[in-house]
Amino acid sequence: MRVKLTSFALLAVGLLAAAPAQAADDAKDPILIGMAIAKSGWMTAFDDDPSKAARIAVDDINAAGGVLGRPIELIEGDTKTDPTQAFKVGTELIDEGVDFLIASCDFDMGAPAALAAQNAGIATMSICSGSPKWGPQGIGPLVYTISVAVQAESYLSAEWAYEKMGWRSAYALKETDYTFTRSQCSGFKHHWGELDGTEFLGEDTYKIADSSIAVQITRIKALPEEPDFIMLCSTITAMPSIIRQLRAAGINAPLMTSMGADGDYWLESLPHLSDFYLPAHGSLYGDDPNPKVQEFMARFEERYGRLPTTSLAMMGYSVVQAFAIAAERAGTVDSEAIAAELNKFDNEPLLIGPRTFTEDVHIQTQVRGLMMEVEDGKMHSLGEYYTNKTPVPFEMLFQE
Amino acid sequence: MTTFIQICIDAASLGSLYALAALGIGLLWGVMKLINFAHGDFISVGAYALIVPSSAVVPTLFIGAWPAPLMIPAVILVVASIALLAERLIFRPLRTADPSTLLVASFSLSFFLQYLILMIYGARPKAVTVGSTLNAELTLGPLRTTYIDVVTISATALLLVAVALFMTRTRFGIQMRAATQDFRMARMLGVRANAVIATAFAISGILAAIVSFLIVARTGTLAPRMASQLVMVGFVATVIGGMGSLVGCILGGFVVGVVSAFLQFVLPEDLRATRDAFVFIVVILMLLVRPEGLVRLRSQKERV
Repeated sequence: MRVKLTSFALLAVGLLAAAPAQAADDAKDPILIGMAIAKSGWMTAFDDDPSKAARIAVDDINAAGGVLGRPIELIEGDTKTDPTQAFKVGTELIDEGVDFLIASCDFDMGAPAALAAQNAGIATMSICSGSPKWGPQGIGPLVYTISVAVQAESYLSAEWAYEKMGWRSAYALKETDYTFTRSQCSGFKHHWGELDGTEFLGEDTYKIADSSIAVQITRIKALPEEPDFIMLCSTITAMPSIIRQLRAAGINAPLMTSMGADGDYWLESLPHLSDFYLPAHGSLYGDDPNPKVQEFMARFEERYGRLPTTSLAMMGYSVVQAFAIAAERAGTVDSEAIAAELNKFDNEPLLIGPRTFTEDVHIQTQVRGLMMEVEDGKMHSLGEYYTNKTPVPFEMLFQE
Repeated sequence: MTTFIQICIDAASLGSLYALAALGIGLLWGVMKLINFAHGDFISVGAYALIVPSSAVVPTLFIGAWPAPLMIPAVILVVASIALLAERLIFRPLRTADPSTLLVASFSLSFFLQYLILMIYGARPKAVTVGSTLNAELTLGPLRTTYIDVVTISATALLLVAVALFMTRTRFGIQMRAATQDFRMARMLGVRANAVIATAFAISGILAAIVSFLIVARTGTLAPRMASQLVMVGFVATVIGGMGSLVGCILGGFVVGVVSAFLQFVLPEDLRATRDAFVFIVVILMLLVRPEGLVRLRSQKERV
């Protein structure tokens, strides 16, 4: 009995002595950021580059002294491109005590992890998903995406085509398989109609499985005049086929599409494509007007032995940037306080571009894009960043 | 009138691809009552065989770089081998299992092949240039089509004739038809069941390989689930064509293609996004009128 008492006493003394030391250590303890991303399954191709960029950002921040004097430590969980697994991984990361969660690039595959975090009161940011449901109207007030609403890309394209190219008549081809492409076309159609003196010659639809768009081509050919340009609301899966068929049929009108077509890996099957335009977050081809983007691309290549597949990779860097800025301003890593600081972002200059959040809107309604052109099968930047002047109205965000 | 003929041409090009997919599915249904959902993945395997196995974003051509007289047989060989392997390892042991077990097995095989492709090649769609010159336009007065459409339609016609000749003129074909009618009786009369069914799998593999070549030449894209939708449509086509009838499959494929193309043309802009709903209303109506499908086979009737 005496032994027990003695050991209790020793333990108590030990604890008392350790307590202040523990508190002092806390300040140097790393801040934990969890990444619930796909490391297997089809999402891997999309989560991989941004998560690599996030690592670069963490190293940069740690080299500069960390956040609130504490280093950042990244821990990962594999969501396996599976919603059920995403919830499990999110819960596990929270059990490990993460202060902030980075979620997968796709809403369906990433949202369950964010939901687990929201329930536990931990803030989450998607590493590149363009769904407005990352926010108070969807998962919850602690959830954000660093990405832009696809309608904002359409607003940007419409304004650029109108102002810089002087185009007035447009036609749209809409892939109906995904919300992304449907919203892209509805946003475009809406804003194009708002611009003075424009004409919308019509819209046609197709599904990826159609593989032949002969009927759609017949309809374009039957138009009284060829449109100044055609907006392709298409995923990369169908894009080469659509472009091939349009050009083979002698439809040579300029084509535009969204940021989803960034990267030149898909141009392989279109060696002679010209007159094709799209906005991108930055250029992978060494001609970006922003030296910071060029520097990032060079560092990515140096570290991973290849360039990122698309400029979307920079979003991973900016997620960590956004967290670090908000935490420094809040003076704590408490999620509520970080969310409050994120909501004050007003054109906060991040690598990916300026970012604005409000209490209600946790996605970008204005986007800065570097305009890209494909000429003879090669993609290059037109050397200018362009931002849509009209933000996407709130009610438009959830429309398809 | 010109527009009408043009739409007919457009419809034929869509329909022929559906018809080819349906033919591969219908064949296996006829022989062993198997709805092979992995047929689409046979098509994907054939397409991916064109490039060097690697997850690199920009693919390097492998079989796809060979001249056509070598490339097409090579792709056929790859897909037919996969089909035969599937028969030997999965469907032969399950021969006496009931159709629902077979269905589940074909789903599993489909997932297996999809994930295998994902694992080896990665998820991003890949761009390839195989057969791209076939996309050039072909004009006949005011009408236009593309070489790939002509090739697809001719390939469909040729393959139908070839399969039909095989079924009626060769010993194996006749045995296969006998097995379709009454599997047990055919076996008792000396039909070698294993060989007959393996042949059916090989033929469906050949059909899948040809579809993969036609799709890649048309779209220039490889994606892990590139043919799964096509196979769904192909399956619907076999049902409305009359399950088990090869001519019915082809007919069913064309019907779905033609109905889709015409609806795409006549539906107002707002309804076009929901075109498939209307396509399937037509399918349901057809099934209500002719539940056995367009071509009725005596052998497929339930005998009480």
